[in-house]
Amino acid sequence: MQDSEIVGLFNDRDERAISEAKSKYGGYCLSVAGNILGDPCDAEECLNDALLAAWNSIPPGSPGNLRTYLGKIARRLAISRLRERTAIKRVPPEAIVALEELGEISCKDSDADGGAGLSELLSAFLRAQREDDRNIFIRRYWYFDPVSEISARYGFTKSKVTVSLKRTRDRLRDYLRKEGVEI
Amino acid sequence: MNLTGLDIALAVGEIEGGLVEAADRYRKPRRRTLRRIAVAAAAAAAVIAAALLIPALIRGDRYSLYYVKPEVLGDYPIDLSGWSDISKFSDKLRRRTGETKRNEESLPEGKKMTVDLLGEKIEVTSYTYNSYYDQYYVKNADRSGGTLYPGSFRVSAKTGAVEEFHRNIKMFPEMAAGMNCDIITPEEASETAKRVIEEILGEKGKRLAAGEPVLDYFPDERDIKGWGQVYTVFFHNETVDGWQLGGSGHVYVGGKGDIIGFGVTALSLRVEPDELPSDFSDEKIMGIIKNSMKDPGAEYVIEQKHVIKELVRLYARCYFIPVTDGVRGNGYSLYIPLD
Repeated sequence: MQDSEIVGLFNDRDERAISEAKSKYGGYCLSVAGNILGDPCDAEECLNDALLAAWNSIPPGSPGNLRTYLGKIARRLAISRLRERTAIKRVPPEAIVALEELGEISCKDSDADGGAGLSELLSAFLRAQREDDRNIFIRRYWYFDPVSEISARYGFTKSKVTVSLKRTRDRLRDYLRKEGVEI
Repeated sequence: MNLTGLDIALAVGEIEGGLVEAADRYRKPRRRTLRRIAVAAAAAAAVIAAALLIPALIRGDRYSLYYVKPEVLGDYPIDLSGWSDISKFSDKLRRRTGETKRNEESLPEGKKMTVDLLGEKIEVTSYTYNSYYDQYYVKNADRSGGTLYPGSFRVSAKTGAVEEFHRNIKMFPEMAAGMNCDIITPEEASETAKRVIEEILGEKGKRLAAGEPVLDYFPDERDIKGWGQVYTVFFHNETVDGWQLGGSGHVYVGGKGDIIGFGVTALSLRVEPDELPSDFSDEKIMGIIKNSMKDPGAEYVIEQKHVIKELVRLYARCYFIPVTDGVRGNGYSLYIPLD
């Protein structure tokens, strides 16, 4: 079923939208959430919550790309759950490492809109990066892929991936400072 | 307010969708060539492995299963970097067996459990055991309460208490007393499973011949009573020259104490070459697991009858998995004697 048809089912409040979306993009969402949480049961619950969130947000939402739309929701829910897990020390090491890397940037939030401004800055920054560096960064910090998987996926050595990530984080820190974000 | 890595990760999650899609689509062109070379190398390795292993089997060397108690694995940190491999493995398996839907966690068709939660009857269609959390993960396919998706809750394997629940399940921890899942402990299930495995594969029973029907061991007309993890599989990964925990399995134990189904866990444990043991003593194996164990609770349960048959063929005829399968396709399996 085409994305537009699935979105149409959401708009018509037809519950088949849930099963169709789950059938088409459930595996993708499970993979996104599973990379972050490291537990298939948690990932399954994130998928269920993501589908419910999609049900509640479409309409009025009208996603152009349903895959990314659902993936974003699942990712957000997984990180939220990860925050809970952190409190009870159930965090997969891979996610810890990725979050510590991001934590190196350690800026201060001067926005009242909960970080939406930071996301726009991040988008602008990433658009200006070389394609390889940008994709490596997104695979690492959007998908939480391990370095080994990124290197296998793109045909780079692990050290190239690691160096690219480090340099991109450094450039990001400089960029945020220039844009007036307090570091 | 200082932003933590989690906060920044959330902001990364809101970047433009187009950038994410591009990263998803992007592939280095030269990788295809590398992949072809890798596949050819793996095929060659498989042929060599087959040549090495099959004569040993004909000689009657003992290849068996290693039994790892769930509680032994339960205390180690998880790293699910191999998670994505799980769906890849299962997808391939499904394609090979003609299965197209992701319903691996369902009980056999027509089978349901009823959980009594302080008088509220909830039909349960699936449950699995997570040895890391030491919990049973129970799914509920009932759409009661107007919810749109299955709910789930988790039960301590030690105490039977409900420890967590997903939000559309109307229950609270104090309702644990109302649980009527008829769940046996992992130890009980494992012991039973071990016994039956020995009957099938061990010295007390007969080893199945190629093509010999195995489903007689898995009648699906009995009530499932529980399951336990019974074996763990290592295989040599030629690509990384390391031993890999390629999968582990568990069995579903029926109300009469017999096995009625198989589940498979696809894990990815990489061991550096310098950690490679010269012998596979219990101590060394457990040392590897303790050092490198990925999430032992990453169940990917497959219960469809024809898939079970396939799995049993794969696992019972373990030495054929990597050399003929193509799912793994990158080495050979070593099965370690039962303790």
